[in-house]
Amino acid sequence: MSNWFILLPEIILAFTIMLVLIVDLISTSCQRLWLGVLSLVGILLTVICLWIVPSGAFGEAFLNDGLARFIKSIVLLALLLVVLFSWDFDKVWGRPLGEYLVLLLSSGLGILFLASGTEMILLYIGLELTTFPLVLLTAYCPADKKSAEGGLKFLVLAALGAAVLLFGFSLIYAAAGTTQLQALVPALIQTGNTPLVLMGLLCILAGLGFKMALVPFHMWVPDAYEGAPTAITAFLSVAGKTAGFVLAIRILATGFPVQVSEWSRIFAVLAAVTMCLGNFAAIPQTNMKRLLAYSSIAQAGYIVMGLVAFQVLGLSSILYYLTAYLFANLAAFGVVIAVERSSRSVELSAYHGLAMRSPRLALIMLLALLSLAGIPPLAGFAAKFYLFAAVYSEGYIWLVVLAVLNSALSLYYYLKVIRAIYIQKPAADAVQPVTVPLALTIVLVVTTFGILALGVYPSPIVDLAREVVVLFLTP
Amino acid sequence: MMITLTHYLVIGCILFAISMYGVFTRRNAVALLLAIELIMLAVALNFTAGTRFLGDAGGQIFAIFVITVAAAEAAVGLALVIAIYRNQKDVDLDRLTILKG
Amino acid sequence: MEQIGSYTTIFIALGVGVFCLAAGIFVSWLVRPMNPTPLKMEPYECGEPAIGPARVKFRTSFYLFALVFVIFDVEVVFLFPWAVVFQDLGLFAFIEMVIFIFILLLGLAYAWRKGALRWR
Repeated sequence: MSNWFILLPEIILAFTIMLVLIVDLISTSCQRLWLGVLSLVGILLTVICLWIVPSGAFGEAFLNDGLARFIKSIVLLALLLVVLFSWDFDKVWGRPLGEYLVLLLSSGLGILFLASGTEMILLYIGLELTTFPLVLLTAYCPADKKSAEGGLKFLVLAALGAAVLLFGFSLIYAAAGTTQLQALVPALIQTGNTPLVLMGLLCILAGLGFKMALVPFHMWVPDAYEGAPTAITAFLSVAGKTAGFVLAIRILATGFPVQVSEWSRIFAVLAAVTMCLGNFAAIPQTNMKRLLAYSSIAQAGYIVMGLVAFQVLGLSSILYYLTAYLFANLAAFGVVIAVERSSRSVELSAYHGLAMRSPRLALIMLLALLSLAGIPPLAGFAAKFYLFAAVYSEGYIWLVVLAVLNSALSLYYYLKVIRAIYIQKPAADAVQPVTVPLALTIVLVVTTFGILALGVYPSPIVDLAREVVVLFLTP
Repeated sequence: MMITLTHYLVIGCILFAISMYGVFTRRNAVALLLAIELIMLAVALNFTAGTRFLGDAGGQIFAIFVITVAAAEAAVGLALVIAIYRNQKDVDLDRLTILKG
Repeated sequence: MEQIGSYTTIFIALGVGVFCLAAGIFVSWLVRPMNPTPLKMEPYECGEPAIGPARVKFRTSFYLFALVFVIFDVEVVFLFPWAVVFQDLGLFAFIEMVIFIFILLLGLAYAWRKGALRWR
């Protein structure tokens, strides 16, 4: 009998999902407050359980180690903040809240399984459990043509990515005869790098590229981000990205450590192309959601560099970068949501003169964007510093130079937004301060605190990330 | 002549190539979903053949999961296509162009 | 070579079958008189002339039912392997399966309650 206790956080979250569904079925519309409260309590319980349950393996498929715990904490925090983002979703968007929360939590549950899976079947199911609810949430307002179109494009490309990944799995399985990632290593050493193995690995890398939104496979990102309700865009950009990277770390580090020279070179090229294209495409954007979408593609390009520098320093800086990125991106999207609520627009023109109307919102947006650009003393600077140092120590000097140039380039379009907020005059009809509801205020305070704290005092998280990665790499 | 695992893998690769051709040439959303389902079938074939020749039950279990997930994917895809069709009477991806740039 | 031998008989039987069928059709085409009249082209004794083309558009309600059906239909795939080794797995697997079916039923109840099963 295996130790079921290890699965407790996932069981609690699954139970919460069913409970929310049942409450949504039997309640009348005026009791919708309970849905949000239930979700929040469920997520908090999951977080607490996550740190109580012992680390260890459940069978051969599920491993609750430090890495899983770190990633799960990031994802659950994102989930918590996004539930707060969508506190009165049904009023703003006119769509039912119950199904929305069920889908959101299911997607989070999928990422929890991705973070712990050490077996192809579980990873695949976790991946699809993450993706399908996100597709449905992207198309959650089908009367809005953008939403439906973004959802359909997202579905087709996400399904294609998953299918290609799966085809890679099947080829590797045919070569190695096991679906268990740890057992792959000796089996693949025995077969050597036959064409079958290399083709399987290539398919897996392409599938991972779709999930991490690296450049030749990034086409769905801008459309899905623009079409989705803004809270979902925030979740996609933070948790979706985290899911892609944890999947890549799990598969490549556990299953293919021997072939590291094959895939790290491919990732070096993809990282370079991704950050350049993401940044250049972001420059002409005037829609805030689209601008942040291209910025998130560029950020994915930076994070992939951590996979290129596949050592303790590289992997731990991925974890730190993901944490910093979570706070900065959610803060930026929080301001976008606040402005969207008051002016019904996500165009850059809606931000003109925001500093005069709501100076605090303007300040939060300033901090978030500067952190994304990597300006000291904010969280993004420390993250970029550790990441670039890791890549430099692995000898990819051209990549570091390119990344630094790209950071300077990204500052250009972030400053364009800041200029709109601080220098340009507001439109004549928009002089009212932007009203921010309580739930959104909580998110903004938490994320701003995160940006500042991680930037000024990064060592606790850095130490934790390093400890986790050292344990992960030396089993 | 013995039928070996390689024969099955070659058929799987041919199916994969056919569906990739479909993905890149078809612009109708339903046809695209069909092509992607074909990849799933190629995968299921590879896994079942792997189980038969390598003697590891994992492949067959994986094939069952692939089939069920493919059904779920088709359901989600068709639901979206119906929702879009109701709104704009067109599911050709080239003509869905509100989102650009 | 054993396997090929057993397949050869099948292919020969298949070939003979196809040949007999094709030969019959070909010979009857060769010897029959051909002078169609409008009366002869009517459907003969079994049914009405068709109204409209065969490729009509179905109401979207059909699709809704089909989607719900496909999901629950395919999930049965998981019940078969379980049923085969039901005796060996014992109570624990039974409880797991009850939970699985409960989740499916929850989905069905949700679809029902939200009106997906109502004919519109």
